[in-house]
Amino acid sequence: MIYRVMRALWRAALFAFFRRIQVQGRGNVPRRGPVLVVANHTNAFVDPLLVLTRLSRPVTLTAKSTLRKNPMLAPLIRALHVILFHRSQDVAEGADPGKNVDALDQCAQRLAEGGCIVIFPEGVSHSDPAMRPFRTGAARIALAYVDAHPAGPPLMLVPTGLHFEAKERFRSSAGLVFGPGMDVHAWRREHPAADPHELTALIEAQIRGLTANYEAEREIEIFGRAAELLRAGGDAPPPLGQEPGEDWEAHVALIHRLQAGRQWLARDRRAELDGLEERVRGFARKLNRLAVTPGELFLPVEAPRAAFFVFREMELLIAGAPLFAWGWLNSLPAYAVTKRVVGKMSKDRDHFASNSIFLGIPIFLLFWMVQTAAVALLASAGWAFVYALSLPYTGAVALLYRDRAGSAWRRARTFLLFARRPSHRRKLVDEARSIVADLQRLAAEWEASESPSAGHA
Amino acid sequence: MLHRLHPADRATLFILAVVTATLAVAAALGAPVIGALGMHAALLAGFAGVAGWLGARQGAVVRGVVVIAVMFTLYTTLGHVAFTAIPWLADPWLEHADRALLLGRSPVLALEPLAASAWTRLLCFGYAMFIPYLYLSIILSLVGRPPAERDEFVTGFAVLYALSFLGYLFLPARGPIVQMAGDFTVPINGGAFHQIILRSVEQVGGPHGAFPSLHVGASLFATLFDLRHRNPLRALIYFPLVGTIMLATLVLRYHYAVDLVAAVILAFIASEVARVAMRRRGETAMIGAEAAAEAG
Repeated sequence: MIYRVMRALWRAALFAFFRRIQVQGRGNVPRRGPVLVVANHTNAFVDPLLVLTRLSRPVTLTAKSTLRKNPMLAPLIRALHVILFHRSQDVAEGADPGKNVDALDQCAQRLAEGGCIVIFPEGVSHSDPAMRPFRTGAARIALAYVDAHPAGPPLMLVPTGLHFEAKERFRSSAGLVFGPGMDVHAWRREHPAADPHELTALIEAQIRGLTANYEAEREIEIFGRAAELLRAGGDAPPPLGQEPGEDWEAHVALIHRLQAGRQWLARDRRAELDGLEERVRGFARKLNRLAVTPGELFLPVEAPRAAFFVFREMELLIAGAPLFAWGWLNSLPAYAVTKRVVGKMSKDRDHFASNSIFLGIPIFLLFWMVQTAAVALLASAGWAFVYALSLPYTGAVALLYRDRAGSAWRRARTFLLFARRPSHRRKLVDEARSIVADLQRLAAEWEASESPSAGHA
Repeated sequence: MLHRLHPADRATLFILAVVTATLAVAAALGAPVIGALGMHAALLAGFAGVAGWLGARQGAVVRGVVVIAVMFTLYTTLGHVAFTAIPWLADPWLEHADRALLLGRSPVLALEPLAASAWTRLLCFGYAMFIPYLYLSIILSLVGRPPAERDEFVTGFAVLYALSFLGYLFLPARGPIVQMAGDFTVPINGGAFHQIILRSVEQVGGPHGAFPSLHVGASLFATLFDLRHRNPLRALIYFPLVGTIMLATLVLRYHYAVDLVAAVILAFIASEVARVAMRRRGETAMIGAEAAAEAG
C-alpha cells in the first residue's frame, strides 16, 4: 500500500519535473522472476525513482546506509524495505562495511522470492562526463544468488542506461534504456571459475554500450551539436505536439560512432580534425546567438503553414488559458517556496532534481491542504472538495501549457527571424549541410579503412 | 473486394447499407419512406463509388471530408425517418433502464433542481460549445497530421457514428424532454445559450436520436484521440468540456443516463477499433512492401 502511494506520488513529481521521460526496451525486464536492474548513476535519488516508476512490477531499492540518518528519508527507507549498503568511504559517518554481509543476504532473499532489485555499481552519484569505475557489489549479489540457487529460477541481469538532457534543468527530458537481459545462471555455467570482477567488467561494458561517456566535459557539447546536425538531416522539424520521443538508444549509438570516428581521424589527420571541430564549434556559437537549434534551421518559411500554425496554437492557448491561469495561480506559492528551498539546498548539479522531487512533494501537499482548508472555511466542504480536485489537474495543465506556449513562442520567433532575413538562413543552412556532408564523407572513409579488405588494397 | 476497402469506408458502407435495407423492408411493409429510401440508396451508391475510387489509399483528406459529410447527413435524416420506418418507440424502455440505473429513481428527474440554478447557464454554454469543439477537432485531425493518424481519426469517427446510428435507427427515442414532459415541474433557467440550443434543435426538426448520446460519444472520442496521440494538453483542456456536456445533456433533458453510458462505451470501442485497424493495416502494408521487395 505505502509502496503504491509513494510510487504514484513520485510518478507525479517526476511528471512535474521532467518534460518527457522516454523508456526504451521495457520488454527486456521480465514481468516475473528474480531480476537485478543495474544502471549508471548520475542523478542521485532520481535514478532509482525513474526505474521504480517506469516498471509495473515492484522494485526493491538499494541505498547507502548514511541515508538512514536523514529524518525525512528514514521512515520511507523502513516502509519501502530499502536495502542499505555500508560504503567504506562513509565509515566516518557511521557506516560499518562489516554489515554488508547482511545487506547481501537481504538481496539474495529478495531475489529468491522472485523480486526485482535496482542497484548502481558506481556506488555514488556524480556529474562526471563518464561513468566511474564499477564496484563489484552487483556482481557479488548476482553470483551469490546463482551459487546458492543453482537450480532456482534464472536470475536476469538487466543493464540499464539512464539519460538526462540537462539534469539540473526544470522541464528537461530524461530517458531509460533497458538493455537485453543476461541470464546469470547461464553465464555461470559457461564461466564456473569466474570471480565477481569478471562479471563486473561485463556489466560495465554493457552499460557503457547504453550510455554516452566522454573523456572531458568540453566534448559533450561538440559531440552533442554534431549529433544534432546529423539527426536534423535537412528535414523540417515535426509540428509542435507531434514530436516523437527522444530515441536515446540511437543517440548513444551516434555518439559512439562519432567518438570512434574522431579517434580514427586523430590518429593521422589531426589538422583536419581540429578544423572540423572548430567549424562545428563556430556553427554552434552562431546558432546559440540566435537561440535556434539545428533542426529549426529547416523550418519551412511558408505563409500557409504559418497560418495553420497560428490557428492550431491559438486554439490551444486560448482554450487552455483559464485552466492555465487557475493552475498557475494556485500552484504559485508552493512552486515559489520549493524553488527557493531547493535553490538553497542544492550545492551540486547532482542535487537539484532530487531535492525538487523530495522536497516538492511535501511542500506542494502542505500548501494545497492549507489552501483547501481556507476554501472550506470561506465557502463550503463541497466547494473545498471540488477545489482540491482542481489543484493537481490544473497544475498539470499549467505545466504542459507552459511548455507548449514556450515552444510555440520559440518557433514563431525563429519563423519571423528567418522570414525577415532569408539570406542569413540560407547561409546557415548551407553551412549546416556542408558540415553534415563532411561528416558523412569522413564516415564513409573511416568505414572503408576499417573494412577487412582495406588492408589488402 | 471488401477487405481491400479502408476501414472507415467499410464502417460507412455498413451503416448506409443497414439503413437502406431497413428502409426497404419498412417500405415493403407499407411505411411512407419511399423518398427517404431513394435518398439513402443514392447516398449508398454515391459513397460506394467514392470508396471504390479512393481504394485503400492512405491518409487521403478527401476520405475524411466525405465520410464525415455522410455521417453528418445521416445524423440529420436518420433521426426523423427512424420514427416513420420503425413501428416502436424506445423511450419507455430507455426510461425504465434509466430508473433501474438509479434504483428506481430517474437520474434526469433527480437533477431537476439544478435546472433552475444559475449553473445551468454554464452547462448550456458547455453544451453549445460541442459544435465548435467537434469541428475544431475534425479540422486539426484532418490537416497537419501524419496520414496514419488522420486515417485513425476518420476510422474511429466512422465506427462511432455507425454504431451510434444503429441505436438511432432501431431504438428511436426523443428523450426525456418529450417522454417525461409531464413529470418536470421546474423550467430550465438556461439564458441566452439555452435559446441558441433550442433554436438549433428546432432547426433539425426537434428532439430525436436520444440513444446513444453522440454529443458525449463524439466529444469523448476526440479527447481520447488527443490523449493517445501525443497531445495530452489538448485532451486535458477539453476534458472539463466533455464532463460539462455529459451533465448538460441530462439537465437539459435531451438524454437518459443510459444514453451517456452507451456513448462512453462506444467512444472507447471506436477508439480501440481504429487503433487496432490502423495497426493491422500498417502490418499488412509492411508485409506487402517486403514481399514486393523480395519479388523485385
